[in-house]
Amino acid sequence: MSGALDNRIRVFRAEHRLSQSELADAIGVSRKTISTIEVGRFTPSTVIALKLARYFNVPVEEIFSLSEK
Amino acid sequence: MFHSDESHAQLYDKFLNRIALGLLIVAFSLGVDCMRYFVELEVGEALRYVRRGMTVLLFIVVLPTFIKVMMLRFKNRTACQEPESFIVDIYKNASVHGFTATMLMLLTAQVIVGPDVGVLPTEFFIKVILGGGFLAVAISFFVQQRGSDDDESECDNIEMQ
Repeated sequence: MSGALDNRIRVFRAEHRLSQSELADAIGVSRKTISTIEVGRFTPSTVIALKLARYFNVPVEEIFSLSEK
Repeated sequence: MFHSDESHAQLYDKFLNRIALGLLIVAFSLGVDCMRYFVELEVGEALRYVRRGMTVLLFIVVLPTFIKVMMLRFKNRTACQEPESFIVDIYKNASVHGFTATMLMLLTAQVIVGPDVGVLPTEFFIKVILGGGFLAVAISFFVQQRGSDDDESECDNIEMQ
């Protein structure tokens, strides 16, 4: 386990038919923040992770997980 | 100049971008000011106008966004308190890089600048170090941000397919 953070935000966005801007507005962050989290350039805080989980109504572990690589 | 549908977070990111751009302008302005010590009087006078132009440019770049952020804060004190974002994160990193660069330049100046430094006044060295520090912050900020716009467009297109 490398400790890198994987995420499934893009999958959840697609399921909910949301653009990055719409998701960003919904949880009160900028679009660039969402895009950089998605591609793994920015590791979000617990607060942002929990906001995302609450928005998609899933446990935070369904969105974020530690990389198995 | 602004999009009316800009969110608070978007506006704050834009504000930090403008601050970094402003620091770059200030760094160049200080550089131009330092050049005045090495050129003829007439050229120095021309450089003074260049510097004034840069000051105007600085206000044009920073002031509109600054006023918007301040107005937002006045209306809603919590509006601009974004605890974190990618831009805030890289701005903090850039500030650390700028501080490190300033310390290194101060240490270097302490070693190489002796009593026989000549006609150059202390003001010159202060401007060089300040300008170098600001330049380090701005360059670090824009280098870290490089490529993040490509990520955005790529990702937004995927969910539309």
